[in-house]
Amino acid sequence: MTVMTKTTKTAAGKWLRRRENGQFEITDRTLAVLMILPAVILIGAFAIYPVLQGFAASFFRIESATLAMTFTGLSNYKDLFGDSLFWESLGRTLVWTAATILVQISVGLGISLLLHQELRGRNLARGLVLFPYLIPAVVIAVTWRFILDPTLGVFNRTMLEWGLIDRPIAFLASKSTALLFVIIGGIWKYTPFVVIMLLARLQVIPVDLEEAAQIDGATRWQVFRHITLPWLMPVIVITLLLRTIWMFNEFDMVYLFAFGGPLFGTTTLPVLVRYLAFDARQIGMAAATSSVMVVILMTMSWGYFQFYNRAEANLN
Amino acid sequence: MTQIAARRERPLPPSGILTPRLLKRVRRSILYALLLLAVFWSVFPLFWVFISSIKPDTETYAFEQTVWPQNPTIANYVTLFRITDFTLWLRNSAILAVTTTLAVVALASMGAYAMSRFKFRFFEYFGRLTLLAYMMPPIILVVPIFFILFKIKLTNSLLGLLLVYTGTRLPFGLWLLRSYFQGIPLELEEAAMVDGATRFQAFRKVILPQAVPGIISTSIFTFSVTWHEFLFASILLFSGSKQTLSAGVASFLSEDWIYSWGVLMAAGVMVSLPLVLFYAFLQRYLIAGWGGGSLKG
Repeated sequence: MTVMTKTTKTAAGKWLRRRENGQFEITDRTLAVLMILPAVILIGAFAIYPVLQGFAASFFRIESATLAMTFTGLSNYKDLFGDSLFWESLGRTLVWTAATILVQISVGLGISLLLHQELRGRNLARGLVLFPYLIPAVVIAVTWRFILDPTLGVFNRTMLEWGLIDRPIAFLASKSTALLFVIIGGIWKYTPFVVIMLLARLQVIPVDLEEAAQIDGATRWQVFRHITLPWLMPVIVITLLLRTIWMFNEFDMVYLFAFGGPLFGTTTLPVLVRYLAFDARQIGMAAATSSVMVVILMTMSWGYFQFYNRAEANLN
Repeated sequence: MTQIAARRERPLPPSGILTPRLLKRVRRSILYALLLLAVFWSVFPLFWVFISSIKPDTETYAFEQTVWPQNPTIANYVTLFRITDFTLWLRNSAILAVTTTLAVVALASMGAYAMSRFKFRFFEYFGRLTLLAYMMPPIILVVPIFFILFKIKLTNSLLGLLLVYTGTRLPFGLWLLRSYFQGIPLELEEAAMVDGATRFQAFRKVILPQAVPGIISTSIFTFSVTWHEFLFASILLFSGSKQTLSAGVASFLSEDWIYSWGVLMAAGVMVSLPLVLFYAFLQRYLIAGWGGGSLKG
């Protein structure tokens, strides 16, 4: 656009132009449109249109066999809000999100500070600590199902050997413990993400700031409280935002650990959507649940962005 | 800050048995203990998968638990490749991960270039819309996408899944690469164009090479996310031979299939191994990309 080429403007000069030698050539505007077009089509078709389509579908009753749609207004929402399964799933989603986030952020902060210390074997430890994040959810589910298996799992066997329990417990098959262990699995997989984010930020902390404070006689805690923490704050907030959204959205880990069971004990909202759409065959209800999720997500991220702007402003 | 400046003298060294040197030693021992704990917590489950994958069934199912395999064997791996469809799934996952990565890198770099160099109002809206799209939970997309693919007869097909993966991974690539292109000075392509290159040639020969770190981050991200992906694959592909690794291995769990835990553990190792190797080679770029990309977005 800023480059001057000798051209003569024609009527179609917006999209095509004629060179001095008489040949036509496309303008920058045309080029820009052509370059972005495939991305626009694919994102539109598979990331934006489905959201709108899902929102629209929430106002219809949809026959799962024929896909025939009948407009029913708000009745899907009425049914949904009248169903205790929805409220229980919402509650479990909030418990899952809040618990995993709290532990991820605090343990992640601890580990990243630890890995920032001058310790021997630090580089190796940095590599190993990130491992869980690399492993696909299905492998983690298989792994933990095996470790927690009542008869063959190393967890039950070791606890029995040490006398901590007197008989094997099927942790993933009991409604009172299943969600707890799914949460532990979620923490295990996603804490490394927090470590990556915070460690990256710690590595670019202005060293003189910390040193000056230490020379001034600040205690370790004061350096952390007044220098390191404010420096990390914007990243903590953005990590909190991303992780909250992703944990709220998380399907694979929750579903694969116990398929939403036992007795819906690990059914969070994403798992509920799958259940409604493909097992209960109530596509309209599934769409209504999706729309509720979108509203919650939007509210959460709006709140966080306000907070993020403030954290950035504090730093400057 | 003022609080810190006010405290000029160092705290008095504690008296008695806790000399500063001893205190320092205690502190370091605690740090090393914590480090060890963090590493154990992160690695033990994976270590256990590997160890169990080379134990014969007789040992896994024995009454007495063993940590180290008494008779290491590759029998579980042989069963996995011979008896199950694992080889097909591995092939499908590899095809999808490679083609999706290529498609995302090609389309995202073109799109991001257009967005970073040409100021159209539409691009601004589109940019915000993609950011929103990136936040949407895949589960809410999957039902409508199923119907879209059903209409164009691309359910149960790798091509259909390739389109879906590309569409849903593109937003991340666009955002990451856009921030890279914005950092490349305009003068570079202007110089190339004065020398007679067309704008597209300038993009390909001058700009793209400058954005290699961003392209590597995008590729790693797209490749590993595609390799991990379970939800879309499990719903959009329904015949056993068409499955990907994640969906295929998950089908071991849902049926009464269970041949043996050992075979499942072998599957776990084989699914994770490529990612771990990939990561070991590209660790440097990976961390730079994760940190940088998401912060700028």
